[in-house]
Amino acid sequence: MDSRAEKLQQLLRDARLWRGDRQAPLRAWPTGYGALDALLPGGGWPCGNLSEIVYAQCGVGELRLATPLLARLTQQQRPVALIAPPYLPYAPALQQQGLNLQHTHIIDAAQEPDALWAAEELLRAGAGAVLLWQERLDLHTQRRLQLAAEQGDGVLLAYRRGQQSAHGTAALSLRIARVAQRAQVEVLKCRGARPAQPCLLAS
Amino acid sequence: MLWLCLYLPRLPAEALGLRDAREVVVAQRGASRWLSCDSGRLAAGTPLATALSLNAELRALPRRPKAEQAMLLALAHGLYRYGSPVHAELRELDEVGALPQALIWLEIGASLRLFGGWPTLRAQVQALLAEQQHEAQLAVAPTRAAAALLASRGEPAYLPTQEALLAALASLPVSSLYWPHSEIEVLHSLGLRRLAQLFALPRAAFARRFGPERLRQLDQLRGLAAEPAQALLPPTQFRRRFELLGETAQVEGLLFALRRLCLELQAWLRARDTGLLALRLSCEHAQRRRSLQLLRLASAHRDGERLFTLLRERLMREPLPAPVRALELRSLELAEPVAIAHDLFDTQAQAQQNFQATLERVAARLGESAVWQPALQADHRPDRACQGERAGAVNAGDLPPRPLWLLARPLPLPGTPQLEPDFERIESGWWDGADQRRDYHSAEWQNARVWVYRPRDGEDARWYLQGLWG
Repeated sequence: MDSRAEKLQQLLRDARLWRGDRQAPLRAWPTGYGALDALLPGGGWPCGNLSEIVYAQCGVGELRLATPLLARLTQQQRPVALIAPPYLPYAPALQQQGLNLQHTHIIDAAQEPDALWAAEELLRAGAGAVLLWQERLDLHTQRRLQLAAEQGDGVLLAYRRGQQSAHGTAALSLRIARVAQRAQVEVLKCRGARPAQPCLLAS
Repeated sequence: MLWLCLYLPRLPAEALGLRDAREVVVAQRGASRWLSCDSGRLAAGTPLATALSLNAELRALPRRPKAEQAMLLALAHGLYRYGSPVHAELRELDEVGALPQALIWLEIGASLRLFGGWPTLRAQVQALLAEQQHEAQLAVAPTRAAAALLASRGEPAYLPTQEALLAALASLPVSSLYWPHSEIEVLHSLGLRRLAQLFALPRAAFARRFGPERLRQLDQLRGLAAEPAQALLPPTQFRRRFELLGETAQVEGLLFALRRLCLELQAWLRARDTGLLALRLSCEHAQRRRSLQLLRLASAHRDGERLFTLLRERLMREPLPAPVRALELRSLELAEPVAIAHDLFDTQAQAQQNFQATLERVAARLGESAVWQPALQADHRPDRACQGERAGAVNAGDLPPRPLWLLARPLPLPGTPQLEPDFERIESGWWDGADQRRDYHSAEWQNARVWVYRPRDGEDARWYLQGLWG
């Protein structure tokens, strides 16, 4: 054993050194898309956390991305809420996607503070997942929502229309776009791993 | 049986809400008028002329027996939570100088242990009386008649057994019986001063001399005869008004009254053993105007704090239209509450209850139409298939795939989108005037996958956008 390898081992044992591959395992709900799960550190949507979905426009498959999660939660009788959706969530389609409509709630909040307040309250009350459509959340709001999600152990998906991630504290940030008539998901940021190549969703 | 009796000596004054010591309540029979309850140094029963000669500043107000009766009943309903059955009676003796006897009885024998014994129960009842600003004398005895007799004498008595009762009754003077003055005089003239002497008399002779009614009353005192009476039940609907001390324009100023009304409602719901589904709160303003708040709950319950939180959210939503003078809370719809089984290991039911309460709160703040659940209806027209009222029986699995987003109103497109070859023809609704004959296609439009249709009849050849494959 030469001394350089020994020194390296010594350095690695130093408590001040933080190594990214030895973090605590993330708890996550599978997204329902195997190719996407493989890219994400916990294997899905992180529990008790804020995740961000960036989409260029409606109709690119942005809600489809979340329906397997919603179906799984509502089948387990955990309530889910859609807050301030841009269009009418269509009940027959939701049922076709496997959601239990009895545990699906929709909240039309015209005012931004109302939407944020409702999201926070419902997360604290133990909603399994809250989908929130808001253009921009400031840092303070993100922290509040993050804490609420932690407290209720729910998944918060913040939908944001645009190209770039804007929610700094999100544990996961995905961008969904329609490329060659298929939905393509790109991981912009994920806590605990390095973003990998974009993947195509099976439609 | 163990009866707690409350005797309310000042009910005539309380019913009028007298605050000033110079105001007295006066009962009248023919030309003679006398004080109905104590006022300062003037004892109840003093003729008004005598009272005026002692204090010329007195203002005499007539009694209002109806208000007294209503107040007595309200108090009796409030006491319902401490025992049952409950009886209330306002006894009048048609005689000059006689005082009304306002009495409430509660059977507490069954619930005494629940409340932790007589001293604790007495403290609770007295706290309730103090809160509602009533003055009352309490006594406990195995018979209603004896409890009333002891309470009206004003000596605190707690006689749980028959022996203690007989011993206490024996030494009481006959004048404490609520009998006409002339009969008491006759008893005195016969040398009968104590109840023990009355009890010792031959029964048949006593009945001949004073009537069977008096004998029965003596028997009822000792528990030898039944005491039939109709038990009070709480009213079938809750309706309570709270008069504020002054006008207030701030919601914060109403919260105290609102909380108290909600807690009274909770007590009433518990007494009726039911749950609330809808209620109405009306805020009364000057000139008989009022603003109403209707509240409908997602599930029936009887939690006063939860109702209070909901009503507060509702009131906070917008400023009060005018200063408020009084609040009135009314129950509109009642239903069996959903019983929560407190299972140590199953926390899911409780979590759902909690979530329901939060949804109610959100609905109270954002408006009831803002919080809804998607529902299905068996209709082929796409815009009608989602307008059901929580119909669980309909299954959308038989339909061809549907888009996740629906536009509330179809949007005409300026051009032809890039259509996918498969299409679905929907023809329905000829029977109700909203006829639809359309060919639906999935299509590519501006980088999104959309659901479009073209009407089959008429000259309208445009494509309409109705859904997005979100």
